Amino acid sequence: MSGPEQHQQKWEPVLRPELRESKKKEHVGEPEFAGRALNLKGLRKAFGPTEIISGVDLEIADGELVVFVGPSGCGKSTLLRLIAGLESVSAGEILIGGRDVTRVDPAKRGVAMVFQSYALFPHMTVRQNMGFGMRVNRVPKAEAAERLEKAAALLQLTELLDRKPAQLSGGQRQRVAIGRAIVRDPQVFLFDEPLSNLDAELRVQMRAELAALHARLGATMIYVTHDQVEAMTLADRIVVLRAGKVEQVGAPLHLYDDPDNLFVAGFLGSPRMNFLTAEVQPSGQLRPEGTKVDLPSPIPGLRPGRRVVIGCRPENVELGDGPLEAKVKTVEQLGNSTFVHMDCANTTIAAELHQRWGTQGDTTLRLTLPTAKTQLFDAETSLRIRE
Amino acid sequence: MSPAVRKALIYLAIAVTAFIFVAPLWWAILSSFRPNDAIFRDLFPFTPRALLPEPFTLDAYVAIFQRGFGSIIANTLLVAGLTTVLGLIVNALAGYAFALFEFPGKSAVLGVVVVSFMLPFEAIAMPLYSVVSQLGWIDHVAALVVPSVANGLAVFLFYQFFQQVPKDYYEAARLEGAGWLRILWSVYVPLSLPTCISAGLMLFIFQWEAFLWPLLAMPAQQFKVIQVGMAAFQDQYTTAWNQLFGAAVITALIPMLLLIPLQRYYVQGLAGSGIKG
Amino acid sequence: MNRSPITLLVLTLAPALLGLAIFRAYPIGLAFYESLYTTVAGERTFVGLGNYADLITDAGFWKSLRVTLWFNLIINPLQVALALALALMFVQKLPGMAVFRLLFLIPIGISLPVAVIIWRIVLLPEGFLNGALGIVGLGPYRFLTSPDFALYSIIGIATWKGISYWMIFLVGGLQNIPQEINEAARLEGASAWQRLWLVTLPLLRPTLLFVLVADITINFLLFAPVFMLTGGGPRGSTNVLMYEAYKSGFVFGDMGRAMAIVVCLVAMLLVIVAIQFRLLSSAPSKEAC
Repeated sequence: MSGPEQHQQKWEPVLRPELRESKKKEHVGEPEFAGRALNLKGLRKAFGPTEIISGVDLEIADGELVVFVGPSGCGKSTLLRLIAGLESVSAGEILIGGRDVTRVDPAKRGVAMVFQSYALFPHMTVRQNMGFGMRVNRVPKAEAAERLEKAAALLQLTELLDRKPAQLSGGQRQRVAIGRAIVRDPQVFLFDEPLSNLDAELRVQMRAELAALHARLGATMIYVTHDQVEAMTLADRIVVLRAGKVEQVGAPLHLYDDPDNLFVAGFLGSPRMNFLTAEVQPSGQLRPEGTKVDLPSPIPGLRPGRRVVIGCRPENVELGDGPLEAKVKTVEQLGNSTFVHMDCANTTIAAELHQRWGTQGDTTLRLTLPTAKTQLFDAETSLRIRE
Repeated sequence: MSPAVRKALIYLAIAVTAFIFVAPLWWAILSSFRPNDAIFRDLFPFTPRALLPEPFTLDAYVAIFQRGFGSIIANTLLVAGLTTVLGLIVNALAGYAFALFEFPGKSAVLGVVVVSFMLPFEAIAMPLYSVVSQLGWIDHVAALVVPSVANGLAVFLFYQFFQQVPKDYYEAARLEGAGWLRILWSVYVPLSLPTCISAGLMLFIFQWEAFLWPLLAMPAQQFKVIQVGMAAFQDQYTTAWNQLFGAAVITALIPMLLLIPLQRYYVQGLAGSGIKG
Repeated sequence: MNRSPITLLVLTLAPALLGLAIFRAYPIGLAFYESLYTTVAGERTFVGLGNYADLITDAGFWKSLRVTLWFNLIINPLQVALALALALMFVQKLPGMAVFRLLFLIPIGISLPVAVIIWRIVLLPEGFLNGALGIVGLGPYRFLTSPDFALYSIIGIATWKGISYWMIFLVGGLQNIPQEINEAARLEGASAWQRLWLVTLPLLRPTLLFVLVADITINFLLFAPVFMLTGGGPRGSTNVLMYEAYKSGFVFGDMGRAMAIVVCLVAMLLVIVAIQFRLLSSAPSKEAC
């Protein structure tokens, strides 16, 4: 059985004339590549009276791996299917490689899709599965065979070519699905939650393989998942979606460090960022609800009386001396880190420590939310307060 | 071919097919409301009046019931009803047993049960006549009901269903000290309502549509079930077209009245078993 | 209430198994047994395989066999093909399909004898069909009384009644094919026809086989239309073996010959079914993935 160790072999470029290194930038505003591989303008989709996609504008550059992420029902799969052409748009435009494909047949858009269930044809061998598109489009046999062999070699499928999907493991089937997509030589690869059918261990392995694949091919990839870990680790840029709208777009660490609103702040990072609702005092300090403590505000000059949400990630919470009093609820010790869940200021606060929890039976302690490492959000609009 | 043209063609095909299915029935219904000499009136040359029940009369139906069709309907309801009730009990029990127990030779027995469904009644109707004759049931209702009660397909439907019920229900009930039959009655049966409807429909319709067997098994002309009755009717009153149509309409009406609201159950019962079969 | 499982097992299985044994299995053996006797003028004598020998030399039997085989050769592929077409139409997602689907199911609620009666009148020289054909200047045809048409008319009636039933199984099979597989094929550029031929039909093969076998089984033993419409005529053109057996047993009183014919029928049926399974059952893997 194949494994990550086999990725140490030297790879030939398969279909791209040049190898492109995937650039994962720390903080990035706009990608610097010239061509725009994919463009979505004002996209809307309604099924009957329900609007699933409510106006999406997006630009994706050549060679990027973009992850659509969001809670169930946010419309990420629908968005993917719109790009693929499996659903028709209600309003808006889709451009691939600069060409308007909004009303073009899925097969002619230059996309290839890896379905969540892989959608392999059960009655065909791996070879026939991968060769299906070429057969249907009457690609000359010699060329078809060559493309197939190369894709098979890239994905370590050469020995499995004559097997049927039922004889393959989950990971192997997924690779066949990817192989079928590669053979199409598309401009954009679409992945619909490809890892959700795999068990946890396999998922980690396949994540690494997918990242490596992206590096080798340098292809533009759109990847849909509900798992923020996958999003953080794989993406060049993440698109966070909620209720059919884009909440924020950016590189993973950028979104992590600099979220635009409460939703994005709370979505990325596990355990979730701590939120304390507070009221701005005449002194400019912040008083969390349910306490009589005033905390310094990271942002000066806020209007007194304004309600804000203080956000502080668990890894930034400091236990020990501090203005806030908390009562320990549960302690989760994972060996290398410890999560302490406490009641504080009418809500629950989680802290992440990188040491063992020594204190027995201690139920109350004090904690600090370091001002430099907290962020403020407007309680009414949920938007980030930046100045 | 543009998608719009293709859609239109598909619609046309569907409409034509639906028309072919509906038209004879429609003509039968409307003709049953016409006087006998008016049945063929508007056909040569064909005028749209041929599609309306005009002139309207209930003569045909009155005549049918005067000729005793009412008792034929009652007979058939009795036979079909009995078969359905007994059939549900017997076949559900067997399905329950197959689902819950393991025993040597189980798959063989189960296989035989399922295959028995594939054997149509016609193949065994004649030898069955001998069997029933030996039992002395010829011309008795028992002859019609008893052989039809055990039904391989119904057993299979119940077996399939009971198998899917999570064993947790069963174990929880066992922990409470309930006996097997008690568990069946208060846990499985209520859950199995959809299957009961599917199997019940199947049994009822099967019995309602039975022709060859009742023909053979009830040679004395007193007790007739509906298909046989209708065939005899046709023999006797060959040219009372409107009455024949009326009889046909009534005969078709009962299963239709059942199928229209319950079609989902019937379809699922057949389709599901077909896959596994 | 602690009956041992064995008792319970027996009790719950017994009624159904007994019923099947007595009223399905036993008659088969009995048929064979009875076929070894013949009854002439009320006298029942043992003749061993004599009935079968007589059948071999009976021209009427051979003619009936030819009619039966020809009948089945036409009706079975026809019904399966039409049922498939129906199923493909049934699963279309066009507006208003709910009504059409209901209409497609109508013939199931109509029993075969009812269908026969209705069609009999429809097919009369002065009936509805000839009237409709008259609009385009065709006919009138003697559908049921002409030796050239009678068998085909029966085929038509049985098909009209039967294909909705088989359609249901095929619809089940179609719905078992995951939608994503069709979408994947679409993305690869397969036209609707290519998707049907390369993806849908191969995956439908087990269901098609099942429908074909079940249909042949029923059509081989078809009886009602012949009994009600033609009595085997005109000129024996619709005298299927089942009717021939009925005549022997219940009109002429020779149960032995009747049983012999039934045994032959069932034997032929088994052979045909076995051949089909051999030929068509290189079943593709049923697991979707």
